[in-house]
Amino acid sequence: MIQRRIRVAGIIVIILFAVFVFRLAQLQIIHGEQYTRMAESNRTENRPIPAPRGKIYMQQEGEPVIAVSNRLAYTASVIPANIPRGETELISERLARLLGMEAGEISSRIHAGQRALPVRIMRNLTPLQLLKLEENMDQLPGVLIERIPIRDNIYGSTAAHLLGYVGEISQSELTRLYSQGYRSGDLIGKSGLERHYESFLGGVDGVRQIEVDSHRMEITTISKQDPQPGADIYLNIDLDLQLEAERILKEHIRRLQEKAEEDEELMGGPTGGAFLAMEPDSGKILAMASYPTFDLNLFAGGIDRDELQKLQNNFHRPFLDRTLQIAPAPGSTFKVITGMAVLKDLGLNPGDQSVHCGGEFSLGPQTWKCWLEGGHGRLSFYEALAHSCNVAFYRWGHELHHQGNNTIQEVAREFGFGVLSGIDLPGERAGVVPDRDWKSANLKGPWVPGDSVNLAIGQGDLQSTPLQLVNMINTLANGGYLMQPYLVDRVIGEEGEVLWEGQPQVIRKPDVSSTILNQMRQSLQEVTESGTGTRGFGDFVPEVAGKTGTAQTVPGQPNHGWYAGYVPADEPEISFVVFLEHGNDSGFAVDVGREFLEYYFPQAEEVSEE
Amino acid sequence: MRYNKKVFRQVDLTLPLLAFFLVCIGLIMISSATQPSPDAWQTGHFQRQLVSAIIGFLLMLVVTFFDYRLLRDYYLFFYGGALVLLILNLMRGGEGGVAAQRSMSIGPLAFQPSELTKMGLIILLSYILSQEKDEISATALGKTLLATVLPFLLIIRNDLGTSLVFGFILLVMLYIAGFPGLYLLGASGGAVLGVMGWILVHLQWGIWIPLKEYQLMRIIVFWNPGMDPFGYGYHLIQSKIALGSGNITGKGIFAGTQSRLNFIPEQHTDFIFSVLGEEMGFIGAVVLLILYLLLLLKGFQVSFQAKDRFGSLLAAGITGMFGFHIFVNIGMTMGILPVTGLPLPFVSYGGSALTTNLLAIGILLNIYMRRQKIYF
Repeated sequence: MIQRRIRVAGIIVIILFAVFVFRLAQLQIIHGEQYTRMAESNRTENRPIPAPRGKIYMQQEGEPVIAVSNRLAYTASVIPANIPRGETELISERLARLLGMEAGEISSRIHAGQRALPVRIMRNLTPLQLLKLEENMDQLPGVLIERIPIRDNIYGSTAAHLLGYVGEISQSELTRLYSQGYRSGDLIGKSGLERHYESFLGGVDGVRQIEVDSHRMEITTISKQDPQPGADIYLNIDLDLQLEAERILKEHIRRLQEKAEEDEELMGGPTGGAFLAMEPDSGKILAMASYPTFDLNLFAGGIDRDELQKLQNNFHRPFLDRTLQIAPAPGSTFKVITGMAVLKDLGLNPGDQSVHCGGEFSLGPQTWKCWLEGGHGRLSFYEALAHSCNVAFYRWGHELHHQGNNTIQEVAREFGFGVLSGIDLPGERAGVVPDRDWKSANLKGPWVPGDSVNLAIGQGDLQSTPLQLVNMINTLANGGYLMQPYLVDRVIGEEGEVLWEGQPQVIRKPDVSSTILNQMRQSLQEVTESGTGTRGFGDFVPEVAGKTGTAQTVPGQPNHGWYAGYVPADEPEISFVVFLEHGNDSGFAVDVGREFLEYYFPQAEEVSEE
Repeated sequence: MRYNKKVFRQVDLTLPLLAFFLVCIGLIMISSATQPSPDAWQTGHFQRQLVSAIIGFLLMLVVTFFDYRLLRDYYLFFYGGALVLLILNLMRGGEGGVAAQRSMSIGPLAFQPSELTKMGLIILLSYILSQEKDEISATALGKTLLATVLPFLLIIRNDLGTSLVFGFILLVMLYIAGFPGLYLLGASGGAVLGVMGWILVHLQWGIWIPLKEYQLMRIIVFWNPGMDPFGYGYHLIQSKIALGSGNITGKGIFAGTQSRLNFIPEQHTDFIFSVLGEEMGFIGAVVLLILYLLLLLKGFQVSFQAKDRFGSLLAAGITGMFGFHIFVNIGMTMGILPVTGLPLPFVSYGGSALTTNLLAIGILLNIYMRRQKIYF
């Protein structure tokens, strides 16, 4: 009996083994390939290698000097696919505790990210954060610490507006740029040059195929495709001029703000300002300062939300680039344009005392006052411009209105007002040159003589950016060529090849005779020699040519202060504009220009002292 | 001890050699599975297993010097002693971790009393059933049931696999002893259906069940591993990937990615067959299966040729115990049986099991040496 049963047991065992061999064959031979693929995808992962962005250089004594570079920083990232199912909230909470963030924000970013790509939670970890993270890695499945390049802005807040900052790609940018290889989590230029030259600066990410263990921890690199770094950009900006312009602008504005605390007439003092310097013959921007500014390095690791809120809610709006993102009334600086229209259409001899200022100008029930109480008396064209007599320009504006011409507007447009300058920066405003059509379209009203009167002195609905103003004055400086302003001299690829070169470009030669141009240049010298610029520039060598401007703003708010000029008056080397937002008086703008020129022409002071 | 030259002339080296090959394969697979600490020696698994193997082979040798009938004379001592150790260990463990409850320390050696309990049970059952003829009396049946249920219930909460081993030993030995096969088939089929029903009722209405959450989940995911691919289904899926990706010739020893990168759970113990299948492929796995088949057939031969009924039953019990471990373990790694956590005899890491199994081989040798002469 026992032996029979043992035989049966033996047969059962043999059958079972046959089943096992069959099952093995099924797994290993029939489905072998499929399981091999599964094992491969188990152990491998593709991780992007972020490309370092191109560097940005400025100039210093003719040599390139680095202004924006990269540095490697530790970044806490999450690969959503590697988080054990259902633990996203738990991991988010742990990360939030370690990094001092909000768990909700982390988890929503994890959910929004692509499953297989790292979602960057916090860039630029502090050593303490890094340490805490590393100590707790075993409790953070799916989290990885990457070492990736972030922006290093060497001069911090210098030229912050024009250089711009980078940030994580937004959903709408991603939709637009996906085909160009951008992926979620990538950094992309958000403002300034970083944004405008993104296609050069961006580079192409590499990819690394790595072997991971069951905890998705990296074991080795299997293969690697190196990233292609972004191209380097060389600016026309002169670092020393830029630093100096920013310092001077800041000091003057701060001083005026302090002064305003005691002097009620200043009505709080300037709320900001801008300074632009341009090379007359080329249109190269040499310095471009906007105040207040902000520290670009706050953005290097993705800005802290509180910090961002603070900046955005700041009353003085530090993010606003006051060189081209605002378009206030240019005030009396616009008399340069009106003046040329007058010389063009009214045919008066600028030396003749052909106009009288009695302190006010009336038109029906309306009365406009000259800034000088009691009036300027009889004036020539030169004198009227030098002293910036409003009444003279009211009269001329009114006369031009009666001729039925739009000469002021035409000249203004010829000199670049009312349209984008086309500078290589995003966010520029076009400003407004108001005329009959504009007014009926935008204000639903007829163009009345008063409109022409206001326009003549650069008020009313006229709007211009400081950039447009420097371009206008520059056109006089170089003898009549409206130049294309530009910041980037060249873009150099990885192997030194020139990918793009900025060339001086004439936008147009305004339709104004050389006689009129020379008369206007003469007038601008008169401003310095005997007019509103005398106090500031009268003793300055070389001679300065330029025009002051005090632009009225909304009632109850202090005026804007303007100055636009070029030096030396006969052979200009540099054109510049100063804008003090609510700076009260053009005199303060002149002070800023004076200090800048003292820096730019260091020998000047010595000469004048002798 | 009476030295009997004639007995030793009957020594057959098949069993020790098979055990030796299996242990060697086990040692290789253990050192592969305890990577990726780059130096496989660092973890110390290999060394500890080697020591256990040496002890085991020595015990095997020692056992051959005693007549196996000694076990029959002291059956109560072996069974009772093992049971006492088991109870002591469970009391000591309290509500601690599973591992703490499964092994106990005697001097420097950690030992799992449950391994000894298996042997104790086989000895006791062999004794009881050897007192019967082919017709098994109700009293004997009751005794065997009692002898099995005691350790079965003691351990089921902590070690479902081992408790099933007790049940299976009873089943095999009753069958070999002549208990009607249909009854046994019906009883075991009924037990399986009963357990399944119990689980369903438990899931549906939360009726109490003597299983822990993880034990329950293992059984549930066996039906549907995709249900929880990152949790309890993970083991099963990763094990199948490991085996399947081994293809015909395997990825090479120490080169399995599933094992080296720790995708296979418990890869040096319960899932060592997956490591072998991945690294040595279909060929390696079939070779191992053949070694096991030979071992089991040899075990049955020992039972077949044993001098007395006690020896036959003893050998059949031991062989059945091996067989159950082998089938449940390999079946689990291949996804045709649920995960129960039984080690693979001679191959899985684990000193208690290895020494006990080698000791059991010694007993088989012992029985075979004293077999009845068959003349052709």
